[in-house]
Amino acid sequence: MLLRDRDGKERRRELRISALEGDADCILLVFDSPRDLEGTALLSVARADGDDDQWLYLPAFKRVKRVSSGVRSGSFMGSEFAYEDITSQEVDNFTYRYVGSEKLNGKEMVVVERYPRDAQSGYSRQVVWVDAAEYRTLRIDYYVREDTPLKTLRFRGYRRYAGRYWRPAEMEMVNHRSGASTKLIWRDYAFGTGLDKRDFDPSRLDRIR
Amino acid sequence: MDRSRIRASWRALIAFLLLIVVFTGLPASGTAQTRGEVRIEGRWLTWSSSPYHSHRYDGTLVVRGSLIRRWSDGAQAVAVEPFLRVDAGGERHRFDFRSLSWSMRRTAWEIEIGMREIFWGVTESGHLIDVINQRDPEVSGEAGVKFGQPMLRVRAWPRWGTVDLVLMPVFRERPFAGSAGALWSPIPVDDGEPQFEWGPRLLRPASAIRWSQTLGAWDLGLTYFKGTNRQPRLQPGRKESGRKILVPHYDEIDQLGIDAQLTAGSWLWKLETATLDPEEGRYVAAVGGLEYVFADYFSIFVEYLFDGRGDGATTSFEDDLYSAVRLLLPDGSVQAGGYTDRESLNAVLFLRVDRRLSDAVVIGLEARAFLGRDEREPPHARRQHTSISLTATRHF
Repeated sequence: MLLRDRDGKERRRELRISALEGDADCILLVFDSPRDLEGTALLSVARADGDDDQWLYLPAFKRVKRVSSGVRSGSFMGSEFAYEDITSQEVDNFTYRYVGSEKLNGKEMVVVERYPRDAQSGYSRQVVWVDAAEYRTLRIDYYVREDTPLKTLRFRGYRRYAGRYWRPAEMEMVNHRSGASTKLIWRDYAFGTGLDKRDFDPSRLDRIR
Repeated sequence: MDRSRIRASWRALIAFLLLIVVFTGLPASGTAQTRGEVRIEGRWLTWSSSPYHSHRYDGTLVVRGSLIRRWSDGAQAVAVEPFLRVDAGGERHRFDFRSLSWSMRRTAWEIEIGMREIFWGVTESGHLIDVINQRDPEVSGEAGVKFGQPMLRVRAWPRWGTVDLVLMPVFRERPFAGSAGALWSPIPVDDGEPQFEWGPRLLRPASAIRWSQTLGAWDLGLTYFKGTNRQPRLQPGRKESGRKILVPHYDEIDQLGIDAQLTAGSWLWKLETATLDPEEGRYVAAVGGLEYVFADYFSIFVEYLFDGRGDGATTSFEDDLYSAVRLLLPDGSVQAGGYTDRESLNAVLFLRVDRRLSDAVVIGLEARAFLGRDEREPPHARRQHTSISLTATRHF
């Protein structure tokens, strides 16, 4: 994760991410850098009501802490991504309106507006560009109150994994208001690695890692 | 050589041999992970209730390492986490382990043998349930460094939560080394001849069992501990020379504790309560309160600490209100707050600031101030000093 502030100063964060999709989507993030956070883990488990339960593991104290996930519009680790940009992408979280088709970078796109159902969302609406061929999301514009454009997210370098999962190599979020941006650079995707629910259990977060 | 030096030497030897074993003796197919940090700390005591220690300066170097070796597809692991503290004053040197253990995990259970560190509990200002490890009173910071506790630990994950069984064959004393033992007390603590109700100093078995479970918004735990209390009472005594000293007295206790946290959106309600039965009679202690999260990066904490022994408590936070704020920044954090005694209104204030300078270097400042009248405090009260410390930490 590369965080660039408005003056162009860059900070780097390295994370290992594992995820399980199923009845309850789970995401586990483990920090590799900065070095003072190395081994720190954040576990997020989606609840039926659309919110997440979150636990933090602090290796310096060998402590597992349940933390608040109430602020979904809050920044994800100081980046331009909000928690909701990363965690709540399920179909049921929005209502939709078809806008039309359009060409983006020479490709045929479907453009859809979506409105967050959750009153706690930080956005009034989002405009999503999806390619007509493979339904890959290539761009999302985020709007806030009074329809002001706030951020734009662009996806680059899609590749297909395990024959069916399209994943981007890079996601760049630009904040138009602050001039800051965050780039997520993904490496070493692996699917079907045999993880199960028990690998996302808060009571096992403190296992030697 | 004195006793502590001899102890440090054999610990160093064991560590060295273990490192050789871990690096060479284990299956080559495994994975290894190493981390380390070197910290320099300077501490100025600007005021202390002990006249010897006002306007005193301490310099400390701390080296910590962590080596974890895993094999059998992660099912088995060895963890070696030593730390070394070198004190410019020469009285607080220490070499010890936070971990020195082997573990084996299966889907439904896990077994660990060796020295381990365990954290149990939910509150911020006090830790009543966290009874397994001895703590180092000389290390500043949120929780202080804990010493690894030799144990056999079995954890199992049945349908109804997590069960944790810990059997501890030996006891680890709290060090009150040299003048540091008098850091916060006008009378020095002499840890040379601690008192026990019965039995030898080292071979003091203890056991603990804990059940915990997450049920929706609730995190619940029930903990039972039987053995020697890690936290000594300090009793007045005299040396042969006639000099007044405080002598650590370790009680045999059985303790039943409950911890609970309710996480409801931005409100986090936390409670730890325990009942203990030392020699002087059973009592109840509790810590509880709430955290309110304004945004991911800003929280406030309000907690109340109670100890049924009142003025006879081993803590001076026996009827105190704790309040604090925490601000997380992209490259650091700020925490500020304090404890205020409800009756005397004596207060301890603290400020902690951390700033990350680069990927591997963090500097920090910690200030503590005692406000109030010290004659209202028990003679061993830890709160009676005002100090500022600066740290620089390099991570590897």
